[in-house]
Amino acid sequence: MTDTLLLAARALHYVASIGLAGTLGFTVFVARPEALEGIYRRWVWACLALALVSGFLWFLALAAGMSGRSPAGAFDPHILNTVLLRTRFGQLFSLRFGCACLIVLALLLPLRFGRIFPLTFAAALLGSLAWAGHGADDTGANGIFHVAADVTHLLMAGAWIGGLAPLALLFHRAISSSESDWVEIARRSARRFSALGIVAVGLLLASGVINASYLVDSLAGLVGTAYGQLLLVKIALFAALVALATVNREVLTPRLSATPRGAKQRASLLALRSLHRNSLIEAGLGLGVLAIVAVLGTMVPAAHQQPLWPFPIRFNADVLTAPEFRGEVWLALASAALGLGLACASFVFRKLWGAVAVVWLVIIAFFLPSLSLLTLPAYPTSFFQSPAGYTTSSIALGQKAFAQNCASCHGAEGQGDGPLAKQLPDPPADLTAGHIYAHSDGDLFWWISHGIADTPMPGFAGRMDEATIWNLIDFIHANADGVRAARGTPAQAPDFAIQCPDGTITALRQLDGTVVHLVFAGPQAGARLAALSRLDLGGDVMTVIVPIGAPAAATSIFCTSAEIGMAEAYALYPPGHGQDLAGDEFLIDAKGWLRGMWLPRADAGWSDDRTLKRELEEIRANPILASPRATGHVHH
Amino acid sequence: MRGRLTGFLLVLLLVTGAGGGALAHAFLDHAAPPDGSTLGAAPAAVRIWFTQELEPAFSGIEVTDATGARVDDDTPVVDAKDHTLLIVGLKKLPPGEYHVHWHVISVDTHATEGNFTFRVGP
Repeated sequence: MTDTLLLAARALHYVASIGLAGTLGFTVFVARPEALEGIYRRWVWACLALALVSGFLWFLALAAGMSGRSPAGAFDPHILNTVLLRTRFGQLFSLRFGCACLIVLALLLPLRFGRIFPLTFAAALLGSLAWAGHGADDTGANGIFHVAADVTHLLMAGAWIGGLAPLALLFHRAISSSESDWVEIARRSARRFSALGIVAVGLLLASGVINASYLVDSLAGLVGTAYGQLLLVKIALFAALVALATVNREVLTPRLSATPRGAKQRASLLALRSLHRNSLIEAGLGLGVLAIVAVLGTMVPAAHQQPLWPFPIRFNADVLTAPEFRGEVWLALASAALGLGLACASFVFRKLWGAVAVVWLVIIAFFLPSLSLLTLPAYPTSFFQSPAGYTTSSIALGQKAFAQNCASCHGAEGQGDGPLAKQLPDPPADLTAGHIYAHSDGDLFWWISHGIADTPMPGFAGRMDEATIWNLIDFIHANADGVRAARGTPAQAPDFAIQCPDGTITALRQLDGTVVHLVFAGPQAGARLAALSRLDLGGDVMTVIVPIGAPAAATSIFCTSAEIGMAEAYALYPPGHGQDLAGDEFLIDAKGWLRGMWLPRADAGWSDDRTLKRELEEIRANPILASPRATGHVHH
Repeated sequence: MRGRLTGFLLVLLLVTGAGGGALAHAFLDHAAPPDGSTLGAAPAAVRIWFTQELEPAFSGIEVTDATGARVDDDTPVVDAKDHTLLIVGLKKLPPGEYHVHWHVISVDTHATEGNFTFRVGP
């Protein structure tokens, strides 16, 4: 009930604000025929009244939504006061109400500047809607840019869509009038409105693309979420509007002629009728766009949804830089560009048709296989982002699930050498090989859930829940990283919570800029901890103790981690997986890369402070600029 | 012709103009204790950082223990300096699993809510 009211109020308020500003703008920039003065005036008042009523309904529906009551229940003075005075929307509402009052005053008083004052306030009323939508949340320079794009978008929509009603009224009058003056008025108005329309379309496009980039953020979000798909419908309606406007400008308007009789006069009258009909259709499409805008404003933007990818392939940008493929792919792209260029040129030089055909035959015969390198097979979940967070606990849980479901074929360490591997027609994949880095988490999610066609890999959707599958994917990545880390390749350090003696709680991934010296401390770690407590490694280093078994004495002065799965996850990285980590130490650089480890059972290593400090110096001097594999925000 | 061209350009721009931040609606950015984490000692408060500024009058956090009993101090506050940070104090927590439910309204009027759990270890 509240949602429906909110939606209806929003939609009506957009329509009214746009109608108001658009009509006033029309009378200033396009035409203001004496004979239509009265009807335009009534239309402006109607829009203003609708804006006020729908504005109040919007406020009421929001107050109800915010307080969790029914719209009637939200009439409580306490709630209305709180929303009005203590929320940003309430303050905006007050300002906009003041603005509407100024419009009333400006319309009533016989001011010298005619329509300029009401138009200015109406534009303010419309433009300020930017702060009531998705643009309101941003701060800083980025926020100003987003809000500026939003304001521009609203004002241009007002100038174009809002001007359609007065334009249609003008055409209607021109049709019903017998005076030939009206054809000239209609022609001049149509041309001026069309000039205004070109400016509006350009700015709507630019600002719309900016807004979309904030709210959609990927092609997958555009085609794979309800928000994105609705946005596509809006874009389609917009394209239809532009197409109609183009017909009006290029075909119909030139036919208007003030000739009193003959074929030209008949063509002119027909064109006038078509213009009238088109402007009404455009207004209808415009209402559709505004209804969609009202719905979009209440939906969760695509950037926060898991997108379902609708196509069987996706673009593979990696081949453009991959040394073994890039030559071939760029050559194919260049030849395709040549083919396209020739095809375009052949519109002008007809004799080129033969050459075009030959070039395209060559491209299809020789380069099509290369061009297909630009695509990868894709699945509905290909662009899903893992919610697991790459934490030690997700990796440890994934490891358990792996042992139960996967190890029999893929092997305990994922190298494709499980006990059942030999009985399979195709060998199971080595999950530590390089190809594992080429697949998105979403691809792996699909294969684990639904199996891989034409291979023995079965689907596990019925046997594991989604959370377990995401944990499994975290384990597969950590396990593959572990093979490389044992040879000295930096790996993404699994995330964990950290608790410090001063009460602060944080997580590894929040410590951008801090090097973490991770110490697994067993019962015998007392002497090492005492030595570390006297050691100054530098202000950018945080020593974190992971107590193993009975906590050693002297941990209380250090930050600690009691996170589940610490021992299991970090045991994946030293050579010879699965050792007891007690006494082992790790260095995680400021970006979250696992850069160094010391296993006391192997050598004296960091027991000499100078060795540890030298290693820290080396990490500081050779930062890895790339961030570890993005795991994305964890949304709930 | 111009309509088609514009449509094409729009799609092109949308495709190439990908990127940009994920904004609008306040979502959990990060929390202390972190989502799903296990702590060695009882935390004094739950702090949640959101992706957007909050309306203090309509935003809150409730923390419950395994039996469903409230263990927060029932006075959630939005940080005075950082309007994206919502904090609620906790009673002295014994070891166990705790459930955090948050519900916020962002300054662009959208309501969002969510849950996560954390554990205090033995």
